[in-house]
Amino acid sequence: MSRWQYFLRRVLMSIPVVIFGTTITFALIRLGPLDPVSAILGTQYNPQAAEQIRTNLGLNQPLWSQYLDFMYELFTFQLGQSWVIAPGTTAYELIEIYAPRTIWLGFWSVLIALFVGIPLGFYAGLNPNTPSDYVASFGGIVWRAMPNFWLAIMLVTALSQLGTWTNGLFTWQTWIVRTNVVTPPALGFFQSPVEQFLADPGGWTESFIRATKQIAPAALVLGSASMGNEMRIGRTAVLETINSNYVETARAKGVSGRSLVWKHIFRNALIPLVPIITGEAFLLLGGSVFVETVFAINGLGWLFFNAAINGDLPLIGTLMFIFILILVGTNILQDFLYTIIDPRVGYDG
Amino acid sequence: MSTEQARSARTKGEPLLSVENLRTSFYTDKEVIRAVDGISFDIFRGETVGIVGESGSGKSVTARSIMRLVENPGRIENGRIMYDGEDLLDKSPKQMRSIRGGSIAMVFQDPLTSLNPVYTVGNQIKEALRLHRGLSGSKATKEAIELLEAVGIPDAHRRVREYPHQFSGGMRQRAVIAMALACDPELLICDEPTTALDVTIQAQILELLEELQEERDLGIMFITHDMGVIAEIADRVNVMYAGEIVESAPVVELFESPKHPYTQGLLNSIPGQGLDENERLATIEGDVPTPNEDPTYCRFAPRCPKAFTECDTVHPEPVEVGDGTGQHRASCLLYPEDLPTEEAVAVHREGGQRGGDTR
Repeated sequence: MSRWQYFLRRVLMSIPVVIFGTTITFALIRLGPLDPVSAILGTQYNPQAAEQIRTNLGLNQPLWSQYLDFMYELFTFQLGQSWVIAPGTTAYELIEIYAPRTIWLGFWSVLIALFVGIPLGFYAGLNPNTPSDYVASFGGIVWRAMPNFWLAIMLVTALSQLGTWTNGLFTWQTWIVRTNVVTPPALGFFQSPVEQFLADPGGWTESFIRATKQIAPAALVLGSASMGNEMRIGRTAVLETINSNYVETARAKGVSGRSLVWKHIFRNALIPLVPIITGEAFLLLGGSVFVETVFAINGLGWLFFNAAINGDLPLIGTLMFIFILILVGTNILQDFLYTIIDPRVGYDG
Repeated sequence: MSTEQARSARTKGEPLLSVENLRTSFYTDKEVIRAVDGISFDIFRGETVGIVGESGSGKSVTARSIMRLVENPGRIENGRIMYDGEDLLDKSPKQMRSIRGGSIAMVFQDPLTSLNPVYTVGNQIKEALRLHRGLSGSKATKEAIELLEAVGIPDAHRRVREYPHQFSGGMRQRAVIAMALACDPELLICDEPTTALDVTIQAQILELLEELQEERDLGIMFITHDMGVIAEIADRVNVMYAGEIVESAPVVELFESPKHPYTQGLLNSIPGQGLDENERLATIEGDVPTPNEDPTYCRFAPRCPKAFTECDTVHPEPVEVGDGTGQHRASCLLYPEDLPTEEAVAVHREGGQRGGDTR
């Protein structure tokens, strides 16, 4: 079986996974202790109103018919409305407000992990047991060991106090552009970016820098653990590859140092890194709930958390569905990367 | 090439490669291990020189020293490696890169892992062609296909685009040999190229090497621990023990009249020499010692059935033990055979004072 047939099969196999995950979500929502009607009515609960709402929302129909409706609507991307948090607002509108912030945060934290962690790990692996390797490895362990919740709070404290500590010489708030330490990033510049940039290049660049600075501390916290991980795994992968026979064969063939690293070592060392990178990409989904709360970013994580504690059933279901799609998508991306990097990928040995 | 021809080649002309008094040490926290300790041998054009010895005797380090592939904490400390009249140890890394693969090529032990799994076989052969002969594109592909055909890979047109995992073990070793031959080297170093293969494939690879040698007048340095393989392929054999060459002889002579007790032990430990049912196969008791100091004694003495007192205090030097042509030498205090033991010991004692470090 060729590599691309393998990939196609992986894509097809993800469909039942999505169906299964969505079914589990439905079961958790409807069979759990959440009562949407009391959540909607809150303190003004009375039996008549409750009955009225139940009929309106179709909650007294048989469960299997509710299930079919639920599945049908999600899979046709009719994502419904919020019941509790923002009654009457469609899920699309909510996602449009909240998702960009999370994407912006995830983008930078993945980028930090990729472009700091991996090069550092590769560098350490290429120069094993040297002082710079020790510094990088130790740094990797330290980054890895600091839990998100602790690091987030410490960073917020440190950034807020910088002005006091340096006697007003340096404050985070006024550095380059004026921002608050904890704030949702202003991402307005992403709406029709080309026209905005052409109309006012300076202003657009400034808002880009501002949004980046606003997200930087949170991205650093969220990316730190992955960065440490990728550094450690990258180092091991390079060490393993550098000592392999084919690298020695290549050296015996007269391949120069640079081509040895980039052609023979790099691609092989990436193979074990692929699942780490994609694995962390969806770890960011879960981890972001907390970091978003500390840094007041109000993204998808924050929205999901609030929907969950407020019993906003359709919103939870929709967000879960989107999370499932993202997870499955990352897995497909992982298979895709594997297929590109490693010719041995396939079902038969 | 037959042994007769090899002999005549030896008597005239310069050797292709001449290793003189080579010492390679590894620096660990605890000690300095002399993996290769003062060995000398020559390889002539068209000749196959075998290096035998058990694990840890320094065979592979010898090969890597010639290629200058010894890595930290290893260091080449002494000696000369003369190739084409020039000392390889004086070459810059850049000059060395053009020699590696260009003039001297190497085939490693494990064909299953010697090819990079993520590139096609053709790609890896073409890499060598590009590095040393400046070939690229369809010219290189054509050349790669020809090389694969030359090493007996059928359907080379298709195979050249395949990945190593689509090749069987024997095929992979053929591909590795094709890669090594890509730039017409004069010397081929084979580090146990058949050890990981089963016997039938092993025979095929040996045959292939012999054919290629005849075609291209290759000098081959063949490392193995398998006496049977040596008997088949080598013209000349160097027996290594604990970093030293203890005996060196043309292949037939070595098998017919081994002189050094270690060589005798090795040959006696080969199964199938018409032993009776109840007789046990001879073994050499003990392990190879770790050579970590200047040799002032015979390193084989603790395991030697013929050892005597002086073996612990005098380091044996290579002496002529053959028919007087200088082709057969052994490093053992028992020789020269015609002298009484005391005088023989004196010969070795004197010989030991002459040698010194050149580097």
